[in-house]
Amino acid sequence: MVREFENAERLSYDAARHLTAVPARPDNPGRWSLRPWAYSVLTLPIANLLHRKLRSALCAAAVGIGIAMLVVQLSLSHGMLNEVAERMQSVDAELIVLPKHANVIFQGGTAFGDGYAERIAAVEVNGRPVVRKVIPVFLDTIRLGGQQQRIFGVDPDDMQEFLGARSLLAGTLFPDARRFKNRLEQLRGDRRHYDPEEVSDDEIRAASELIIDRRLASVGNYHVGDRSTIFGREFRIVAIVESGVAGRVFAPLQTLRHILNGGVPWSSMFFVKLQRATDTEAAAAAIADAVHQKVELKSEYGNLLRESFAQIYTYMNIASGVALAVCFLFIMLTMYTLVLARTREIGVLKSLGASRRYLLAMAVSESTLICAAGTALGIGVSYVVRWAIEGLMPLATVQIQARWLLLGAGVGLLGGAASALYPGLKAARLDPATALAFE
Amino acid sequence: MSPRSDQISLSVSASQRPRDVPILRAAGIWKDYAHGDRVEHVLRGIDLTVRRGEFVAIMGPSGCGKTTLLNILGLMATPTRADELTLDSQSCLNLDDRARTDLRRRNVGFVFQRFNLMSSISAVANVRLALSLKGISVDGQADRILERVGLSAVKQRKPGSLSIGEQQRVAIARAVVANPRLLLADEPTGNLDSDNARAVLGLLRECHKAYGLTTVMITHNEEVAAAADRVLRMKDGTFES
Repeated sequence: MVREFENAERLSYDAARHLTAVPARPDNPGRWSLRPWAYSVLTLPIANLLHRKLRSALCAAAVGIGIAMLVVQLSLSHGMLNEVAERMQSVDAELIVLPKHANVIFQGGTAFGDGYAERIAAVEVNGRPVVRKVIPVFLDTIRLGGQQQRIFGVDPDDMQEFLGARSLLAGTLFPDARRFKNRLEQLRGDRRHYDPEEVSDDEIRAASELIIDRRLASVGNYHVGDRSTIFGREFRIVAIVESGVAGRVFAPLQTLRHILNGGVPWSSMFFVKLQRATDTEAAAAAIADAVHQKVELKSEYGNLLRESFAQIYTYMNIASGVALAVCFLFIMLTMYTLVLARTREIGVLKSLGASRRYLLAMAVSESTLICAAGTALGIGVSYVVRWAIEGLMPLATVQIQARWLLLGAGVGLLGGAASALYPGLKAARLDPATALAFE
Repeated sequence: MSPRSDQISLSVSASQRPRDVPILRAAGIWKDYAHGDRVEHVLRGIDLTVRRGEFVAIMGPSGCGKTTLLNILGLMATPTRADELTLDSQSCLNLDDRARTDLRRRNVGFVFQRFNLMSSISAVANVRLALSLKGISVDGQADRILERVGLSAVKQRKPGSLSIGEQQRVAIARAVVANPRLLLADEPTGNLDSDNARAVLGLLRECHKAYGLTTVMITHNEEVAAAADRVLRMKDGTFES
């Protein structure tokens, strides 16, 4: 009965519709659907962004610069340290012995006499010798390729431990240094020391050899056979090796000891190569006990390096935070200004029945879209900046890691949404009549 | 067979109810604005009853409270005090913002003197917006109503590139497309030249009849007011008797 009545009503109305040629109305307020609502929450902000292209572009650029700054700063600071840490990992050894009060970023010094190497080599764990090889390193700093470099003085016979699987790109590994080493051993005889006066300048000149890595060669446009003055003496580049070795510059250990230390066989640090299947931590503890110096696991070098730079990281994180805060204050100000400029439109939307939730969602959508575009731009800019930095400063390492990109994207999107909340709430709470009267 | 989306629903719509039933009742409506210590009484105990399907024009000098009254009737503003305010038999006093918004969305359409179209979206998107805010699927409904108001050819253009007459026709299409019970028009011809004013007034009348709308229109123009079923005159916040 009811159905018949309803059909009659509809037929009568349809007839009226045809007579007046006015289209029927979507008369079903009870059947609310999220889809069109959500659709307009997205389409209107997109239209607004496209309608005000310059403003949108400027906002996105501001966010992009903030994100790029964050990503590049993190990628550069962590990249530089990671690169150093990774280079140290390339050494074929398990432990590092450092002076007791030194940290991993120490630049040099001669803390250890040869006696230390002998004591380390003799260390046992549970009655079994654990050390396969002790690799002494004489560290110092030089200026090469336009910037300060840590020079690794290594025994020519230990060079393979540093080179590992990396290729020799040009030249020969210390062609004359071995002869110099043999000559010094001959001079030393049974003594611990030799008389430096017995070594001629020609012999020293012949043993003044440098091995550099490809990045440094690229920066300084160095080739095998080129010469450079270091420690007041002329060194010649004898080999260029693939990047990734522990040092960018290697010199013969004996040459550096002779020039800088009067031939006294002291070292700055040791790498320790353990016997196979040795408990690394137990061996480290035993060596520390034997020499009373700092013994670190090579695998921990990266963490130790980061700990050494903790204060700088704190500063950089604060700087990044400030940059981001400025960036989001800018977005908030933009959104706030936008809300003010759109007061009348908000009034219109309210007159159409836009709820507070809708207006808030719209503001958040618009801001999130701006920030999404800004984030994408920022990530793109980060890669451009990396390219530029590595082009201008080949020794700088900008490691753009997925976690920095995710952090940048998260900060961009969440920050964008959050920065729209206040202006969005303000828009949502506007009195519709007042908003409509706004000039 | 289920009805098509462009057909009227099976339920008995308000527009099909008896026409002598009031859709809007306002009694003792006061609206005050405080200016420091001074209180301005913009509305002074307005009483108004509008029957379903009626076309009422409200005339009066500037500043007499016409727009304020229209905003209160359209639930865009709240009276300072009131004895009664009912829309479609539902009391609108003491409603919170959410309930008033909901009621307004379901029952009221607005046409403004300055059109108030969203400038960033096309004419058809403006009409669709009204539907989407109601959660109504937009399937062709907006296109059809724009075709009806003679704007098919320009429906993809943004309001800024439409003539003022076209903009007001879009605004009317937007106001009526979501099937309001009550259409409130605040000087809809106030910004138009006489030709466009006539066309817009004709369109309002046509929509009023075809959709069985109840229309309350504010105007300064006697000729425009003459199109209404009833003309009320306001002065100093109250109706002239």
